[in-house]
Amino acid sequence: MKNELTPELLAEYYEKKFPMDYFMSFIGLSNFSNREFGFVVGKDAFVRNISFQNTDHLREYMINNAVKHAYVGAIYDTPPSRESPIQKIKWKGREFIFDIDIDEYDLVRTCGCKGDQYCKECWSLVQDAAIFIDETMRVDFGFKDVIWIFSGRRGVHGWVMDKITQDFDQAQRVAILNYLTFIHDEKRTQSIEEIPNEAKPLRNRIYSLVAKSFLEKSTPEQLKELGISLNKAKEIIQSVQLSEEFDHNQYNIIIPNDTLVRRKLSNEFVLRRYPRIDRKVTMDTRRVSRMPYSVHGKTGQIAIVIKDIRNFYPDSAPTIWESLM
Amino acid sequence: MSVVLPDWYILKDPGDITIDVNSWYKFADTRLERFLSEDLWIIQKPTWMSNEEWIETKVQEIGGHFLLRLAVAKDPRLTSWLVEVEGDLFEFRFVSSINFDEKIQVLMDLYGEDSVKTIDKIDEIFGVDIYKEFNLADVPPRKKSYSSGKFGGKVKDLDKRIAIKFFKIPSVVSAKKVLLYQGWAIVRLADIRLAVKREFEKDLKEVIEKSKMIVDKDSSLEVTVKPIKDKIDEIARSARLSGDLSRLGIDAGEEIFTKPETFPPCIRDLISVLQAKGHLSHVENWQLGTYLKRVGMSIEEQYAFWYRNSVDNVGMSFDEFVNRVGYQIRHIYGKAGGGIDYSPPSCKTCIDGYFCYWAHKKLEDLSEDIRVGLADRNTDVVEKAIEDISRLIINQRFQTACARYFNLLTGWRMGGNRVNHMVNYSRQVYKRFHSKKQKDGEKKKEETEEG
Repeated sequence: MKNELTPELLAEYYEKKFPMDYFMSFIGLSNFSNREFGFVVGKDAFVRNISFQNTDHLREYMINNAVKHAYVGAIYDTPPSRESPIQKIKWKGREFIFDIDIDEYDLVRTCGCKGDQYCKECWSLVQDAAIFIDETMRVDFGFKDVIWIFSGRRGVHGWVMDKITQDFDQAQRVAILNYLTFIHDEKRTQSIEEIPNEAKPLRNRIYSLVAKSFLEKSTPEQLKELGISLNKAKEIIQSVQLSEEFDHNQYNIIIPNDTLVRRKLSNEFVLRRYPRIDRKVTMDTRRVSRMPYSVHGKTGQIAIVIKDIRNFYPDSAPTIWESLM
Repeated sequence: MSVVLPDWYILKDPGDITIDVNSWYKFADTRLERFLSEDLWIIQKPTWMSNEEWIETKVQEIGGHFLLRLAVAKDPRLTSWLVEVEGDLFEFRFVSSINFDEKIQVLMDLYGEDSVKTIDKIDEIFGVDIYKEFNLADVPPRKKSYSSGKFGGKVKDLDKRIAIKFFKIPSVVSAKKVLLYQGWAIVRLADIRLAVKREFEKDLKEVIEKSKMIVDKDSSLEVTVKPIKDKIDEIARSARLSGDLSRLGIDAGEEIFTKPETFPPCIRDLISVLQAKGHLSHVENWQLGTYLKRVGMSIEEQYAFWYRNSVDNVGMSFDEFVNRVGYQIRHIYGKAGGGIDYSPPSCKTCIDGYFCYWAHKKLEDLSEDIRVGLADRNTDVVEKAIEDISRLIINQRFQTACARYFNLLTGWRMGGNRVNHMVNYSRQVYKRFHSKKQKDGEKKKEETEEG
C-alpha cells in the first residue's frame, strides 16, 4: 500500500536518500561524537542519550532501526550514552532554534481549523511569524544565517546558524525570546504587553508587518468594533491593500490619533497575528529537535529546508513515497 | 583604545602599591567605615583635602578593599555581604561620576573592550545616524524618575546612551529597554544601571575566589586577617534590621510567629521540610532560627519548636535536647559564641547562600504549590500570576517574583516591586491582614463611604 510507512521504506530512505552532507552542514563536523541524538524506534519507543563516532554509524543506526522520528540535540563534553546520560555530563553548546506550530494559534484561528489541521488562511499566520522573526534576527540581533525548516507536520523551525549562538546560555536565549514576546499566557488569558517606546526597530516592524497583515485582512465592520468609524475603516483597509511598502510611518498617518483607539487596535492585531513561539524549544538548551531532512513518522513528509517561506505550504513538502519513487 | 579606569573602580589593577603592615587594620577599618556612612562615598577629591591626603585615601581604599577580600574569602556568608556592600558603593560611584568617559571605561572593563561602543562609533561602523534614524528625541527622559530615587540628585548622564553587545545584558534585552541594531543594544545608562552592578558583583566574586587561593596557600595570612574577619562578622550580622518588634510595625502584645500566614514562602517551605524530614541543613537552620527570633519567638519557645519538629530529639528528654542541641539556638540569640544578636539574612544573601523559595525550588513544584495554596482564588488570576512569576524566575528576578506573589496574596504592591528581606515580607502581610491600625483605617474608610 502506497501510504503505509513501513520499516523497510524508512530504512530505504535513510540508506539511499537521506542527504547526510546537507544535514551535516547544519550541525558541523566538529564535536560530532559528543552530540546527542534521539529517535523514535520500534513501537514508538523514544530513545535519547545516543551519540555516534561518525556519520556512517549514524546512518547505520537509522537504517537498522528504521527510525520513525529522528532528533538532534546539544553538544556535551563527553559522548552521551546510557552510562553517561546528559544530566550527568557537561553541556557545551546547542543551536538556537525557534519552533512555530499552527496549533499555538488555536484560540485566534477564525477559519475553523483546530490542532494539526491547517488551511491557506491560517497557515499565513505561520508564514507571517517566520518572516517577522527572520527579520528581527537579522536586523535587530545582527545574525547572518537564519534557515527555516519544515517540521514535517504543522509548523516550521527557524535555525539561527551563526556560531556565536551555540554558546548562548539559557538566560541569553530567554532574553531573545522575551524581547520577541508580546502575548503572555498564550493558551489561557492571552494578556497583551504594550508595544515599547524604546525598542524602536521592533516597534516599527510590528506596524509594518503585523499591523499590515491584520488590516489588509480585516473588514470595515471589524475595525468599527475597535472604535474606528466605518468610512475611516474602509479608507484604512483600502490604503493598506494598495500600499506596496507599508511601514510604520504610513501606519501613524492613516490610524486615527486617538490613544484609546490605537491601544485597542494594537492589542487586537498583536492578539490575532503576532508570532506565537513554542518557548520550551528555544530556551531549553538540552532539548532535541527534529533532524533536518529526516522523515516525520506520522505524515511521511520530509523536514526540508524552506527556500521561500512566503510561498511554502505544507502540502508542497515532499513525502518519503515521492522521494523513493 | 587602551582603557584607563578611574581610581574609584575597585576592580582596577592597582599596580605596585606598598601597604605598611602596621596600617593593615587601619585601612580595613577605613574601608568598613566607608560602607556604613554614605557621606564617605566620595569619588572626587574634596576641596579641603590636600593632594597628598587624596593619594593616601586612594591607597587606603585599594589596600583596605584587598584586606577585606582576604578576610572574607573563606566564608561564603561574609563574601556575600562584602559583595553586596561593595556593589552598593560601586553603583553609587558609577551613577554619580561626572565623567561619562570614565563610565564607558568601566563598562569596557566589565563587558570587554570589543563589546562596548559609543553611539558615534556605531554610527561610523554602520553608516547611520542612530538618533535620527530612530527619532530618539521623542523618547521621554528618565532622569525625573531617578531624581527622587536611591541617590537623589547625584545621578549623572543616566539619559545618555551607549552601545553594548546584546548578549552581555540579557536582563535589559528581556525587558525590551533597548534599541537593538545589528546585535548592538543601544541603551540608556539608567536602564543598564542594575545590570552593570550585577556584572560588577559577579566579577568581584571571582576576584574574591582568587583571594581564597592566596589564603589557602599561606595559612599565617588567615590568622593575620582574623581580627578583620571578626569585625566584618559583627557588622554584617548587626547592620540589618536590629531592633524590637515595635520597629517592625507589629502591634503590642501580638505574637507574629503564631501567624504562619504572615511567613514568607521561604520560611513556610523550610518549616514544612523540617516537619516532613525532621532536619534542615546548617544554613537553613540558621535562616529559620534567626527569622523566628526576629518575629518575636523567645529562646524557650524556639527550644520547644525545634524539639517538637526535629529528629535530633530521638531518645532525648527536653532538657537533654536543650543542653546538647540547643547550642545553635543560644548562638542565634547571642547567648553562646560571640554574644552577637544575630539578624536573619537578606533576600540577596538567601539567594546566594541560604534558601530562597523562588531561586532554589523547581519551577513546576512551586507552580503547583501556588495552585494548591490559593485554590479558593479565581483560577485565571492565579494562572496569570504563575505565568508572571515563572517569567521572572526564568529571568532570575527572584525578589520581584516574591513581590508578585505577595501582590497575588494581599492585593498590595510591595514597595520597589521587590522583596528585600523576609522580615519585611512578614511585616507587610501583617499590616495587610492583622494590624489594628490598618483595620481601624479600613473601618473608618468604610464608615465614611457609607455615610
